[in-house]
Amino acid sequence: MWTYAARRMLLVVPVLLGLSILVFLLIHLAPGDPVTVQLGIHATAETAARLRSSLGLNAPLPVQYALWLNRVVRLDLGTSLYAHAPVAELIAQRFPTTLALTVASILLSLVIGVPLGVVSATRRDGIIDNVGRLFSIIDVSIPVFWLGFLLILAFAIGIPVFPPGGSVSEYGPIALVLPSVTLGASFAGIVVRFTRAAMLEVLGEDYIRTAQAKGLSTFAVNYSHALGNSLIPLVTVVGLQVGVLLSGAVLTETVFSLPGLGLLMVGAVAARDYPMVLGTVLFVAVLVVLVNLAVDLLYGVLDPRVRYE
Amino acid sequence: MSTSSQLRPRQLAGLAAVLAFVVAAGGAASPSAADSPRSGGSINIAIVGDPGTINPLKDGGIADNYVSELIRDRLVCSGRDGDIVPCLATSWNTPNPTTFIFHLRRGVKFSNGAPFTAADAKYTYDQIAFGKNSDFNGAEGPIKGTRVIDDHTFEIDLSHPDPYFLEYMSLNSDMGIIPQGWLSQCGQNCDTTVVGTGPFTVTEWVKGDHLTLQRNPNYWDSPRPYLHQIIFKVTPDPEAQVLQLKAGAADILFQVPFKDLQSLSQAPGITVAKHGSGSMTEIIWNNRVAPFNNLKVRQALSYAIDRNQIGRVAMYGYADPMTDLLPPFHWGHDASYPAPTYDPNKAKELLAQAGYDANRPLSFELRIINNQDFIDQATLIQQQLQQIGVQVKVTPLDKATFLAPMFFTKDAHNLTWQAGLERYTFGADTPSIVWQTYDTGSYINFGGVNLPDGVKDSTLQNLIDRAKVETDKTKAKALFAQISAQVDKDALTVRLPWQNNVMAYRNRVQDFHVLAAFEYPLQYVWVNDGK
Repeated sequence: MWTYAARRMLLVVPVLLGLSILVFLLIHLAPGDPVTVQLGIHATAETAARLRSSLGLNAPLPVQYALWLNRVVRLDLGTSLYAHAPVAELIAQRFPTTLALTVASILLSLVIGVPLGVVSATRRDGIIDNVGRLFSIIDVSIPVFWLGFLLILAFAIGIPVFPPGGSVSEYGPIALVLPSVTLGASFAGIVVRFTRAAMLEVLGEDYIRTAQAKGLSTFAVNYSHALGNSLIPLVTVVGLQVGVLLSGAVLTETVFSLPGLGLLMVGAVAARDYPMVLGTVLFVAVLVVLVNLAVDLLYGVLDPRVRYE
Repeated sequence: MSTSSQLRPRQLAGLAAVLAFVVAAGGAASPSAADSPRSGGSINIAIVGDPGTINPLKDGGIADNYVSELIRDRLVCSGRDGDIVPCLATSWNTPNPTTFIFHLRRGVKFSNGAPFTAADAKYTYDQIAFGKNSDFNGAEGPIKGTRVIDDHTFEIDLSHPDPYFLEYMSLNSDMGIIPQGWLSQCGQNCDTTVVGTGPFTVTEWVKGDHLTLQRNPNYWDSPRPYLHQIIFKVTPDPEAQVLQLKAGAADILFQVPFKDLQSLSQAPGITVAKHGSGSMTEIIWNNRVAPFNNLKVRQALSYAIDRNQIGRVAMYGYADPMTDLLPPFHWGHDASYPAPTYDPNKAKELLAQAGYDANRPLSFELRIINNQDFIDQATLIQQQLQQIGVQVKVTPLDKATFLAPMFFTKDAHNLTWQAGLERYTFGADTPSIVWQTYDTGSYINFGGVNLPDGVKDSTLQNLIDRAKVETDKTKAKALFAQISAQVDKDALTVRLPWQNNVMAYRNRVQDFHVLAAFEYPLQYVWVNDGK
């Protein structure tokens, strides 16, 4: 397993290299540059030219890329052209918020979705199953930003229990409650559907009938035998969601003014902040690779039949 | 039996009556405690994004202005109605058209306790105008040189007369004074820390989250500022800002989407106030490409757009009728300038003369920055033009994608767009931004006037050249009106109604107002929390 993991990690290097070239080209091909954004309609030809020169934008693209790569291999992600601060420092400031939001929302979605999915499957076509399926359909249909605004209106303005938005540094952990509920509730519907589908497949297996025939309790059959063998598809979809969330839940961060990675990346693209775009993309790519590796390794834990070559 | 030290009942009653009279008289004569500014308190202001920088030599964008004007004072400032008022200079004189001598305020200190003198003013202006690290090198007026006459007298010399230089100084937060030698002392923190004589100092800046200002105890205009703290909270989404204001998490919004103003004005504990108008949105035709290289097409579209409806509907009534090119707060504004005419029949007639009709309808792409106000205005324009058979495709873009092809450059990529909706917020660069928009060779001559393949109008260029150097305000005002008339004769753009400066703030905030050119003098603000 460790050899497998090490080999996977080595593959990260060419992945990151290819990704950086692609993103570098894309962001430079986009119309406008940092000077366009910073000076706007107050630009003159002289100030624009001077700023372009000071930002090193006049060099040929391969030269700009080579200079950037030379810094990155020394673990220097450069300086934000807009914020005038080290990219690594800004990422480090934002990542804890994104990580906390990811963990909280995933846990919430599992706490809601898994039991509901199990009950839905074990009482198929019953009232709870119908409620569960209706919930999941409605849940995946509701836009995240709409749900967020609704929660703010209800629980920050109507009944002012939570802050309407803002950072953990301002309000403490309570600042993450409504955003986590927004994201967690949005993903819970998918968890319900995946859990139900996987459970239904497993519940039809012979070993489940055997377990029932042996006189095991319903709880043991459903949660120990059936759920345990249903987790692989669920782990897959949760792993994908974790990867998405770690790159920043932009809509949720926007609605709740949470200074996370999502807003950092979107802002960087809008500002044509080239070092920031590249730095955040690389960072997120490493995270996604690590999450995928963790999911793959978890398969082996969940299913002893899985072997790593 | 009473002693000589005790009062008799009649004496007690008389004393009580006197005391009651004194209390009543005192209460009537003096203002209530609630009306008087009180020192203390903190407010939160929601802003869309961080200033890029507060380094005075770098252009940090519009958010930079909000913060810079609170940290660094200028020599002269702008008053409530756009007039020029003393600031760090108590008076000034101009012995000749290219020399300004400023007599500086005495006893002023920087926030670090160092005294402010003419040497600091010279250092600041030399760095801004000539410093190799300055984004504004050469762009802040025709400054040729500066001179310290004595500790409290400072001179600026221009290379040629500039009748708008003093006005520009009064409105431009980039010209706030910094201490001599600051650049060599700020080290790695030049972009995030700055020392000034202003009412506040920066004490904390967490990028993407908040920027905190604290009261400057050395501020020269004591007892101001009254507030002890201002926190600028980064809240990128305008709807989220509105919710924060309603929830009390934000106290002031500098800009509010038009569509939310009504609900805010009805929300408890919130005041919506408007003060003048200083923003103009206009449709810019790229007159270097078809169909806008045709005067009749441009004139037709101008007649077809009902500006009053746009002001009523898309701006929710927070608008003043469009007149000439200069904003109402500016001395050069001509309130008697005729408003544009809405005449859809005339528009159809002109379109027919240009060769467009039902069989050959006119269609074009209108580019906008992806912003709700622009979307609302563009949608209404689209509907209005549809009534005369013109098809408009509205394309929302991010700011960089919108602007990049519009700047004048020598290569041809600025011919790829047809029409754009852009907003100008007038401030320090009034009126220069007016003629830069139409000046041959100007970077922001988006329409292409007098450029190859663009509309040729030597009269307009001549008027602009004369207005730039005219020192007589009466004559300058007449020139501005002629420039406006020439622009309208060529139908180079379609100007929409002047947008009001509208702010929303919580009722605990007292004495909050905006100056003519979008400056927010928060040193006058105090909070009344009912204590």
